[in-house]
Amino acid sequence: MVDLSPLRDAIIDGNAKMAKALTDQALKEGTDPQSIVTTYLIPAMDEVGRRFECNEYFVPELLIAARAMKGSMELIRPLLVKGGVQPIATVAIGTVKGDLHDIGKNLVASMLEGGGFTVVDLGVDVAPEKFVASVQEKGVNIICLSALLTTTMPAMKDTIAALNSAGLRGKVKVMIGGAPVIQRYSDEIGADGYSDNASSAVQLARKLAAAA
Amino acid sequence: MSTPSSLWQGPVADGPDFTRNLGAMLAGGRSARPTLFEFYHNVPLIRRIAGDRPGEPDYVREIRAWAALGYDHANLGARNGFCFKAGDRHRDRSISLNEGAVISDRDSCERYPWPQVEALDWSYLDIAAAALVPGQVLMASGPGGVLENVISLVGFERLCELISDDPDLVQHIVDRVGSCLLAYYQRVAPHPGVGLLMSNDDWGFKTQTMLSPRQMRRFVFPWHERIVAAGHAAGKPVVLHSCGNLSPVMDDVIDGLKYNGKHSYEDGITPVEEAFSRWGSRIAILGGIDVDYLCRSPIAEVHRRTAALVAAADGRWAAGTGNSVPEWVPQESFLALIDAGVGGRPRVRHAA
Repeated sequence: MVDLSPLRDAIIDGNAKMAKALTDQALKEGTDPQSIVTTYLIPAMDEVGRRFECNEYFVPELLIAARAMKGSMELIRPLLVKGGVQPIATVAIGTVKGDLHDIGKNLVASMLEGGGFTVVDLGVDVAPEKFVASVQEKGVNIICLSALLTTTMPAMKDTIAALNSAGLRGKVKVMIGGAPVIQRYSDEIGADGYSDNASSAVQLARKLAAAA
Repeated sequence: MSTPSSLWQGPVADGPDFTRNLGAMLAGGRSARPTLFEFYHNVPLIRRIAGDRPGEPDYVREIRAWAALGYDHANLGARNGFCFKAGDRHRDRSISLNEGAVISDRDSCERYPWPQVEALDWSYLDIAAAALVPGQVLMASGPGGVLENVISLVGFERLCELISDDPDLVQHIVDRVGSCLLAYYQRVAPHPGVGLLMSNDDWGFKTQTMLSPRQMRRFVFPWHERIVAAGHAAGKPVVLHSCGNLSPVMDDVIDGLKYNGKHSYEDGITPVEEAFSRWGSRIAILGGIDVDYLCRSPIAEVHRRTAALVAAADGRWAAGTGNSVPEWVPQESFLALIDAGVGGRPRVRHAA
């Protein structure tokens, strides 16, 4: 396999134009699309996450890197689908009912996508029933719930209750995050995990996917 | 703590005394007696404390309520329409920082109707100043700050892209916003009723600043430095209200920008006790009892925590919430904070 280190570097640097050009070139030269993802794209986003966690990178750098990664994935995804390649897991993510804040949710979605997950972004102000439907209709394995406010946090508990009522709680893992959310709250409402940033959310999702 | 049927027992008996208390703290000294700090209170609470007087402007009612609760100051935002109008946003209990953007390039920046600060009517300042009780001062706050308003006009994710793709345009937009805000603070700072300025500009997420410290120093901080200088030139202290994790830039806030006080703390980021321990000797720590904690903790626990910090800070902390007092904060929990925060100052009991 050809050395695509410049692709990895382009994503880490957030150079979307370069990342897309290198991906296009690699695919035209017959490089296996799955190996591009596992050997270059996921490690690149893992490195971005590492830099983010140690405050070398901040949200703007993370978003720009995610944009570069998405550009590459646009070229690769159709080929993965055609080849029947399975993602690590399918994640449904949304900001809970009553809450319109979307930055944290978008960051986690981007990082999960870069981490090899298929992401179903349900958007903001998402009712518990929509999360339930995502499990029933899209084969979702992990649900990510985001909330900005004390007053919207109870919707996380409501969503878990709705999954219980639908008999789906055993089939899906639930992870939560957001400004007022802490581990104790995650424990109180029976979530499977809590993360305080987008990078550690990927680690948590991998752990939960492996345990599923 | 005693548990009366309501913790609202009436206004504090001793009136405000900004110079000896909050003002002394902001000057680097100690408050002569326990004092308070807040950004804003919800309207039902204000009505409960101050009642309604026919024909009275809402900000005059607020000024009466702040004094009754025991503050040395009363917050006063711009009441003359000064703001940076963005596009429509869906509204619920929170908002999206990506919605409502109106500037995407140079053309839309030039077409934007930038506020003409000097053309605005400033008579509200005189009306507000006339409502102050002796010893009380106005805290002039802004319609959001430099970064908040740039995000509102551009959208956060688009701003991040522009910083990478067209940093000169970002600088241009920041300069337009910053110059309007500076003109506002230069206008209000010398007013005799204004005792301090608040520059209110949220900068942080839960684990770090919204932009990198390098980007903050390049785009945002130069305007904050000028705003603080405008306050100081008028002999007024300036406090920063900024939510989120500011740890990476607190040295800039204190030593570079020269803010006198810092407000807004969250238990999930830096609990106020930790903030006091880390920075309390260098800048006044204002408020900080976490709003989520305030909503979900027993009243007696709120009282105990507040009283403990009042005692430990010995005149170097002004009691208050970590952010503000929206309607969802239980009033009795907030009044427990106030009761402990004024440290047993006597109250004028209601006749009823």
